[in-house]
Amino acid sequence: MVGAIRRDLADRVLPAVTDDRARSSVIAAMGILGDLALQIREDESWAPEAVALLEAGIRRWRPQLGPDPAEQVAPPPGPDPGQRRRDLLGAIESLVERLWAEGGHDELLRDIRGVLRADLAHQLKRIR
Amino acid sequence: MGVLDANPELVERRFSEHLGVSVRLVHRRLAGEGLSDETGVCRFERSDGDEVQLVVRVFRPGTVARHEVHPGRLHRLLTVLRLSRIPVPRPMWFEESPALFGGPYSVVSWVPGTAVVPWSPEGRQFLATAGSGPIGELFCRALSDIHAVDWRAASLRFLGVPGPGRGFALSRVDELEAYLRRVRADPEPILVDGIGWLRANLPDAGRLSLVHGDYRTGNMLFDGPRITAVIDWEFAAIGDPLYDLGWVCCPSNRMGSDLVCMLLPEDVFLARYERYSGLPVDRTALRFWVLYHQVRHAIMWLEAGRSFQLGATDDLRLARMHYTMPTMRRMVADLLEYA
Repeated sequence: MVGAIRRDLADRVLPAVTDDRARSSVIAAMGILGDLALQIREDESWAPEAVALLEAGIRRWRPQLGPDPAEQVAPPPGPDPGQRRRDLLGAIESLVERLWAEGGHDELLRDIRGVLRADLAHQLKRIR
Repeated sequence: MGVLDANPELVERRFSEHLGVSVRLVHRRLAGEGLSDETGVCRFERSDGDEVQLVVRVFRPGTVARHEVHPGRLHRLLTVLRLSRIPVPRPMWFEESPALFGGPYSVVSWVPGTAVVPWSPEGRQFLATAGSGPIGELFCRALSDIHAVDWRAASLRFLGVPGPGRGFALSRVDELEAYLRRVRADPEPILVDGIGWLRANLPDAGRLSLVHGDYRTGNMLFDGPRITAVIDWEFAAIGDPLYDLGWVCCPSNRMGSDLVCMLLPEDVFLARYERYSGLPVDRTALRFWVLYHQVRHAIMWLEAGRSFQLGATDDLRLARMHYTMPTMRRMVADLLEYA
């Protein structure tokens, strides 16, 4: 992404800037972005907390579900918390789909939404 | 290749053929900040010395919701609407061939007026003030006029006529679900929940009308107290008129503002629309269409990121849209009344 921003500055922005001082700022920004690109790592420090709340929700829902869906909402854990979170969200998505198809699960759906809202709060903390 | 770098001799030759008079390209610039297609304003000098200004729209793949857009149909629609009281630019011609500008393109007459970016500080300020004046009335009346077009008499069946009752809503939700499946990279349980709610609450279309499909203040030209043109008709269809009202009232169109489309309080907008159309607005059905558009908008954001990731576009604005996906999910969650 940072590389794409640099390319856009070079190809689209810089040619349109005529003021010398402004051009030098754009060129400096491109240089800084180039250096930063070497230091950027995906921040998944928040993922374990999100995983914990999703897993707690799934444990709570399990008694209300038959054996097949219970297996669906409990994918085996792996070492990568980001991937684990995606797996859990995928399972919850399947569950939500099933609840809407069957109808009459208002209480369970409300609980699931509460958990998804908490996960969403984690996502929102990561953007401005 | 696009409007700015197309071969000027070829442009002059082709435009002279269409206009029936020899023209020389004097100036060209990009207009607006549209996310989807490229729009340029070209000024020509005719052989008789007069100047003519035309707006060229080049249709681009690789942006968002292109599956809903049929460029040739858009030109045909404007030709019909030109005969109505709705302010639209005069359509000139449409060419499917990408030879000249790198994509199919349409040409319309230039219309005086300024487009605003509703979420920019200047746009917000302009619209909040304009809403309390004539523009606040015209915005509601123009929408009512669009919905009053006799689409059967005006031969607009080529837009596609949905089935009766819940047919329109059902086909839209089906499309939405397919769209999500096509563009998402990761699970989206909140959007799937939204689609589930929509499927369980399909409204009957009280009537079918022409719908603009993207009616909002960002798709208009303003000149003093007038709306000189309603533009960007690429999502037009025959459907439930509440489709347009739902988009006007959608949270995405009032970010950080209490005003729908940054222009009017929702109750004022609905009351005026009811007055101009002479028809009551079913608030339950309206809620359906508001949620529909919020889910659709979120999926468009997903597609924007995917297009960028796959290299179908290098437009950073599309990449930026993708980064704000948590906000889009929050808007859907709010409408679904997540605790």
